[in-house]
Amino acid sequence: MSGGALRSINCTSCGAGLSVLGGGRVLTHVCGYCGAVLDAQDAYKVLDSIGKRNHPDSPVQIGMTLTYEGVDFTVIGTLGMVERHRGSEWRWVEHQVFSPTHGYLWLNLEDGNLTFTRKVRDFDMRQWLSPASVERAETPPTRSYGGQKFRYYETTTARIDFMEGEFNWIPKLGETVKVVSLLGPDAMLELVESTREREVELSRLLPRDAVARQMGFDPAALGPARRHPLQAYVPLREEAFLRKAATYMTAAAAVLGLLFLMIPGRTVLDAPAVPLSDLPESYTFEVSNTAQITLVEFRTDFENQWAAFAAEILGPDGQPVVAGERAVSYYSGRDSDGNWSEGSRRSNFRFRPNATGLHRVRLELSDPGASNLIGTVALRIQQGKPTGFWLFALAVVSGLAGIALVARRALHQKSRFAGSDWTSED
Amino acid sequence: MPDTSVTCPNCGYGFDNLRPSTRMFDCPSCDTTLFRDGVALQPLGDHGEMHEYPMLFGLGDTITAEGVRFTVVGHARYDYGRGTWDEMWVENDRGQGAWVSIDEGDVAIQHPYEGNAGPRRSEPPSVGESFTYSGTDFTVTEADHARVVAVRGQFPEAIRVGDAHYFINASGPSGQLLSGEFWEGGHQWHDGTWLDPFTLRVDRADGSRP
Amino acid sequence: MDPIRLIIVGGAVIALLGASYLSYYGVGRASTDLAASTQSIRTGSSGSGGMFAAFGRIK
Repeated sequence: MSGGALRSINCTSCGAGLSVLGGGRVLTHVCGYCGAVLDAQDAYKVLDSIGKRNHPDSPVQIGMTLTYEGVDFTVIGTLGMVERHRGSEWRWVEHQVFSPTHGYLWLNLEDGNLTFTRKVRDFDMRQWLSPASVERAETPPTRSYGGQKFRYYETTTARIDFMEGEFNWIPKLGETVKVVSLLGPDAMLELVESTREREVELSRLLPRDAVARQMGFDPAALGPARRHPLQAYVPLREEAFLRKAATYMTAAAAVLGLLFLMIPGRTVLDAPAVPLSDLPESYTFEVSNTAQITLVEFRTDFENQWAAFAAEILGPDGQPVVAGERAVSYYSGRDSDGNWSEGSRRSNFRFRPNATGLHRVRLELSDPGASNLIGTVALRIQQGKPTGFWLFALAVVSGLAGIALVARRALHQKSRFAGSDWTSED
Repeated sequence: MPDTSVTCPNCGYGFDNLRPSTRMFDCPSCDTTLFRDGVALQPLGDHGEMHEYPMLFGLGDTITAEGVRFTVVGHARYDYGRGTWDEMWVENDRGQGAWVSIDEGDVAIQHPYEGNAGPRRSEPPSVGESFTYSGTDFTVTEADHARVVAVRGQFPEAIRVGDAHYFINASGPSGQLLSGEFWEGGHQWHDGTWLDPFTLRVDRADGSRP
Repeated sequence: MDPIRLIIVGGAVIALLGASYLSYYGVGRASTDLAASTQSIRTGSSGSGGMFAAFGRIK
């Protein structure tokens, strides 16, 4: 810890004035004018020089301040980082930041996104993951930390391409580190291995626009923001409540639908079975319910037989109300796979009566010549038959809605790993 | 049972809240440190210059570490050449104490090993050296000379401004800490745990939120 | 409860009540392949016609 107020020193190589913004743990100060690497613990003696190099592209300047979790941090250093792989190059910037109470952390700018990195000390190092282990793994490796699960995201070999300002370690130009990153619900766990040591860091995504404005520059200067794996899922307003509502509605609609389906209705005609040879037959029945559906059912005892029935219903005024034709066929037998059956012994149609009172129904064969005249048929008419249809339809719709909500979240989770370099082959 | 009410032999300032464990404390009225030997109070010297510096917590605040609430009772500042750090003596409501060291975001609670416990070595290992204690491998990350520059509050032992010792800090593989202090005629090892400044619960003495 | 939740619950209740009503009264669930009379069925014509439709024979 340093003793006091804002200090400045002169570069021992070129004489330029440099502000001292870090604390007593700063080891290195790289002059932004001449590139000299100075020993902050030994009278700023020149250790090395990186020469004049181009600044990396970052609107974040040494001296700017930001607040993270209620703590004020000052930007004290800048590192230009690069990764080169198979002819491609990726560049990003890491800024060392300092707080007298919370120490030395990092503010990073990559692809228009700002992240904040801190060192963690309580990671179980026996759980270390090396790039070689990642290569050998069949599925993306996972690690637990802080009660959260992290899944392998990518491996990076980063090298320092530019340095300026103060650091609490001794950075070297061209020095490489291997970083294995694992993605968790709201943070990236980074296992950093340099030639000297292993460190574990945790990075969080910062709200880009708010932080840029707080630091005093236009968010547009950060460049276009590429989708970041730590970008939080934005749920629909009241999404959890909607999901619950959809679940309850699906259940309620399904149960009600079943209930309605099982309501027997009132039987107004239960004719005895008559042989087909005795058709046509006529019956009367009383209609009292014109609001609900009336079910007309043909019930046979068919065995390997087919017939087409017609039922014509006349109203109290003797005028035809409705006529329905239904084919009934039932075949069964036994083969090498066991018993089989095809068709049904019953068929029905539904209509809505338009008048109350005595109705007549005439049951006959549609095509007497074509049918086999064995077997019997009994006509049954029931009033007040509700359907389960609309309730089941509602259950399906709300069920799909619930699934869509779950899918929305699941798709986001999957897309977070879209940028991962995990491949299952080789 | 030592008196909780005493008067400063130097200026007559009255103290009425000394803790039973306190052997040494500073007088805010005349800036001297006093050592309590039985009922006698012996002046030890000046309490040193303590520059204002933003700190995570200070004297009188309460912190919660390792699940226990501690009150910050004493504050000693050490200079190690390249800078300074702060050692806070904290006590829980049963009078059990520990040291909490603060150095620019590196916060650790340390308990001294008593009696025969602790590493056997009485000579300090060097930076980079590894040794094993209690089944854990430790590597020395730091070694330096330290000197007391200021004291405030109450302490369980005599800490004089100007007292010097040699210290080493060693880290285990998963954040375990072992630190040793070495001086003419003695040494003391401490068992330590890192505390996270972001999640450390601090209740300020004046009731304000940090 | 905030207004949007009220709307969601209200909407769900209305949907359930509506579906229950439609189901109870079998709205739209009457068979659609019905004819006006069996004469129409046999001859494939629509509308009533012929002697057979005018009166029913009761055995």
